[in-house]
Amino acid sequence: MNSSRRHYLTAAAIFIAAGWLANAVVLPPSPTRAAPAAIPATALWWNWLGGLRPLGANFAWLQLQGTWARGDVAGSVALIRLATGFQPESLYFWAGGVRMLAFDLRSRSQPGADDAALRRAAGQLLEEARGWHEDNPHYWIERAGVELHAFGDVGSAGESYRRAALLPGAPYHAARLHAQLLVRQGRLQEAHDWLRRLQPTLPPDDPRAQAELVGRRIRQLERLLGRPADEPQDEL
Amino acid sequence: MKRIGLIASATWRASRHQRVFALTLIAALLLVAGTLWLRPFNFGSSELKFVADLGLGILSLGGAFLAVGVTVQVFFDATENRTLHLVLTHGVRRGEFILGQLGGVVLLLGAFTLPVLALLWSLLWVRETALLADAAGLLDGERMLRPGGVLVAGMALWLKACVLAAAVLWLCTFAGSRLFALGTGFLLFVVFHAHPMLVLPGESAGAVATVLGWLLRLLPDFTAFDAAAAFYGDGRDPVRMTGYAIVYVAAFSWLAARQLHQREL
Amino acid sequence: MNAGGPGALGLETVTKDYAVGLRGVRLRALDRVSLSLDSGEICVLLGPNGSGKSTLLKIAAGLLVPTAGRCLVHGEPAGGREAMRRIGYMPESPVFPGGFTAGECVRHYAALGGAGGAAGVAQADAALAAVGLAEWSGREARTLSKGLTQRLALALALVHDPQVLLLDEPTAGVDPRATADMLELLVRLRAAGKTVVVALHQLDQAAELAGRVVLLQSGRMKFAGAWAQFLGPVAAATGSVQSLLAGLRGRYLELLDAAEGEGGAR
Repeated sequence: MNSSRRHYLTAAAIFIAAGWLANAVVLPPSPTRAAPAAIPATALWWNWLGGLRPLGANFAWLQLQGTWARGDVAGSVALIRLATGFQPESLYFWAGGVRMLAFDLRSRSQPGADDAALRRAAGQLLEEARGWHEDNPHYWIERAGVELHAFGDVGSAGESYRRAALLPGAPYHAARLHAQLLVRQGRLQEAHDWLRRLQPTLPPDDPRAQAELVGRRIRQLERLLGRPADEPQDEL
Repeated sequence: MKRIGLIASATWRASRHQRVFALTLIAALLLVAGTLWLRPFNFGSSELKFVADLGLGILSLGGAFLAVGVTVQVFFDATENRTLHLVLTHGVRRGEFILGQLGGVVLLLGAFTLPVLALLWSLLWVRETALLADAAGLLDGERMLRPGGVLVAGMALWLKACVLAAAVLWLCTFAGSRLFALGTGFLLFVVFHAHPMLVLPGESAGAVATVLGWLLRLLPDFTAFDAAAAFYGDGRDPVRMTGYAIVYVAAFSWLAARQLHQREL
Repeated sequence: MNAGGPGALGLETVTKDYAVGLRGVRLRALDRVSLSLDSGEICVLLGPNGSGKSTLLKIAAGLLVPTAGRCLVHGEPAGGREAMRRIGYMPESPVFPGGFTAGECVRHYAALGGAGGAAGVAQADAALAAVGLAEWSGREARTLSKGLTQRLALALALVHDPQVLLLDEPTAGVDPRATADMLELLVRLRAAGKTVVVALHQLDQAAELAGRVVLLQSGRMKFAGAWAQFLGPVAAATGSVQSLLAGLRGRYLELLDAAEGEGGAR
């Protein structure tokens, strides 16, 4: 083997070893990148812009303020798609976009705008965001809010709060809201069991956990379910 | 080590005198400071996100610009002006020269990142304090801005620029002209950001496509240095991120030193 | 001039091919060149552009690896640490980076050669003094005139007190006075026991050094021998030519040194 060929083979070997060491051992790809099928392929193309991506997203968002104020549905949808395409890993643009479609544009849009189409667009955006933020409890909380208040779908909203509550870093209120929506669906026993399981996990000294309130609700549910109660019944 | 330090210090000294560094630094500082003019838009909490994203974007682009531009400049200055010949005939090894030049560029990138990051941090702090005061009673007073997040974001961008500089230095050792090195250097910046797009081919793909897919995935993944995620406390582990950068910097430096041995001076 | 054998500098049937273009077409820059120089010798490399003078110097300096043959500096292979310590190389028309004074440049290279601190400063001062650049040491290197830049490059080659000096066109683009100073300096260095190999284009300068001559063309050694041998049949005429050149240089310097208005244009 001549020295030139040996040089190029050694260089290739070093490159392969470094690439493997870096990408497989030192810093394996994040879970999102390990499941590329869940990511809209078009969104990935924006990676070509490197450091410009968040900037592009913000400029699209700025533009959106104008189209939103004018009630321009088509323009707004396009800009929401642009912003989320630029920076899909930021929940901020997904959540803001869904809220605009589900709440604001329905009230601001020009006469004749298709309300069902707006709801469909919001639902589609929520589903796409799931590919990036399935492990983020705030995504599920956002989703639950839209399902409950924009779509009036109590069952789906309750399920979304449940999924949020089960994820690490979830705020305490997600679990309480799940129980509340179970009650609204008349599923008192399930709500009771859920809160009983939740109660021992709540820190008594953290006011946000509201351990006392959860205890009160358990007792209320027990009264409603025909079990002995020691306290007056609050409205659930 | 001493010779590497001497080359690094000479490279740092020569490159900080270059107009391109001063102009990039001033432009970045002005652009970051210019985000204050966005206050009249009054976006509420998104104002901070906008300023942070803009600042980090400027840092990323400025760092890449310097990593490519200054590295090409110092390497070709050394070869075309024959200071490389002088250095090598004073007992400096080619590997020491490469590490020294890279060291100088790395220092320069730090000198760019630190003041811009400090300005961005100060601006965000001032604006956040004002916004929290305006919304007293409505918000829980918890700050979005975490010093750790800002530092890790700056570190991520600096590391990314260092990996790019090392790759460009390797490129320079076999490039025939500055133009080729500059063009290909900026192309590398784009390609390294496209790592997540390099999806492995499925079972139906041919052997060539499969091998190519695997080889492309050996390239540095610049999304690992996601400054925006680091800024909001959702970035990769900084220690692993540093290790990731070190592996690539070492590999590119080694390749550059080997290639410089092959280059006819 | 013996081929091979021990000496200050020895090239043994050295061949150098460059790979050109993407296809790596081989271009022969040196073709089986042999040369042996002892300490205190001065050797002038002559030949047209592209004849292989710079390639020969770079091989001796360890910057290029010969395709075939070998090069030894005081018995050590060129390019090795020991050989590097013994050679001083001055490239053709170097340009120095901005932000460094001439003194800082020389001290930097002294430190690279292993002499830091006070020893480095002493070595740098000695090298600057040797090339007559002491009074310019505080001036930014990049702003020096061509002649002073060449002197600075020579100071860098001299700073670690090497035994073999390899100089690539040290007088290129330099005015007559600076050329005269440079040639005088080379003669002094030879007198001090250094081996000097210098690539030149001007035959009058070669005549002034009157050392050994190597004439290259297309990488081949067309002539190697003493200056008198090189002159051959024209030796008889050179006395008058050399005295004419010396006279011209004397007149030029006299006019330059004359007081204001004394030798001015009428």
